[in-house]
Amino acid sequence: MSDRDSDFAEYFAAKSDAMRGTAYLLCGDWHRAEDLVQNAFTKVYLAWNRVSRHEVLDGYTRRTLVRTFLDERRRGWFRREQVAEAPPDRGVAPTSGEDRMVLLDALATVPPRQRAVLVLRYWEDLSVEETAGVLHCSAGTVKSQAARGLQTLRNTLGERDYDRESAR
Amino acid sequence: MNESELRDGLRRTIATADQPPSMNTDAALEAARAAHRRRRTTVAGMGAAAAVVAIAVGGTVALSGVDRLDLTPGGQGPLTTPIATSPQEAGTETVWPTGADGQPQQDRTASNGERFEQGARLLTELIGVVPAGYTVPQRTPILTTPDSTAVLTPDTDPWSRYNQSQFSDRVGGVEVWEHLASLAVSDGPTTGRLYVEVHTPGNTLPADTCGMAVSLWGLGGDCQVVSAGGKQVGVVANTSDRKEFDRWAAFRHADGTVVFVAQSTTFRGATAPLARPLFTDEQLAALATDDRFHDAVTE
Repeated sequence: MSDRDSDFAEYFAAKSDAMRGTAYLLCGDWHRAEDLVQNAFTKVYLAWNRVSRHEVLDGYTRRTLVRTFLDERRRGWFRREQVAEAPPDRGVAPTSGEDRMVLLDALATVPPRQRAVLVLRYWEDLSVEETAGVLHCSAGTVKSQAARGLQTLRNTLGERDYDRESAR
Repeated sequence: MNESELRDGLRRTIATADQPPSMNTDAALEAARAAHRRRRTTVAGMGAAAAVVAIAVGGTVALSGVDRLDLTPGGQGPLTTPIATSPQEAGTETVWPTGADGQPQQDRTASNGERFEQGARLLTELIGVVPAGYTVPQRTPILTTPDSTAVLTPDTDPWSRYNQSQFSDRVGGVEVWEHLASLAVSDGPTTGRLYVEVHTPGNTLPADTCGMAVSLWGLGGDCQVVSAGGKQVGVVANTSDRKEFDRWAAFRHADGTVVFVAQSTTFRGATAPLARPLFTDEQLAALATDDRFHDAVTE
């Protein structure tokens, strides 16, 4: 195994789980999350000689992952992912597992770029400026997209609560 | 739901999820290697096909590895080397810009062709502004991952003399590219870093000077707007825990091109730091407005 391969393998083993978690929040499905991670790491491998000793390799990989998600989403690869405008009403008090699905369902109603902002800001804990760097937009855009994404989440979750109350 | 509740909710979502086993590293590596082989095969195939065409029309073919393909019909001087063109749309599918080999790039990074050469010119210009009395690596380190036990020096560290050009986005039908060059700069046994990053017109960096300046690598920092030759430049002092750069300057040219020039008294922490910064804030600001960096990637 070449140095490149062994270094890449070591990096993948160390980081793929964390990146998969981020991908899962972006797309809401473990299988697609793994596809995203594989695609993103493949791109990192192709550029390995240029980026492997860069101080911001994690940032490069994260940026590649998010952009892969957005690119594939734009191309329609994730079209099947689109859920109904409101998440399904389950009619009973949610368990923790259902809480998880409710949030994932709600996240899926947030437009992809706003969703990426939310995940980067509140899951990856990136600053506004760092998020802007990943998405190549201004800090102001990050702030506005985060606000709009949060509002969409509130609306979706609010509708769900309303539906649940109505069902009682 | 507020920000704190979303943060907690995302953590609960991952914590309570039935996560599948970790991904198979060997399978991931093999998939990556297969993609690498496909790219090499495609590049080689294009080179061979182009060679056949060139010979058929009586031209001569000059190949330098697979990085450059010059077609020179007899007696007519060189033709223009194929260069990156606009990204293509095939239905809803967006593909990367076309590389010098005539094929879509496999990722955002240009590994050859005009865009790559622009990055190389940027590095040359960066070397040209190093103050007298300082030295730079005398040769370009080999861009392979070195033995992890090797002692890196400015002459062996791949990042001591480096350029990269990558496609950023397409805005209004215009390709936006980012070019960067990074250089280790030594004074005897001490070494610091000089860095330039140029975003071509159409970029979506913030319009206000300081908003643009603090966006570099998401570092933030304290920004002041200074005047350099009558031009407004954002000069930033790094206040974050990340120490890639100490200070930098950012300037937007009239055509929208944005230039960052950054410096650090340290270089990857592997050697003793420079005793003093390479440039004053005023000098950094003047460098950011210097046409040489603009022209390196736009002409």
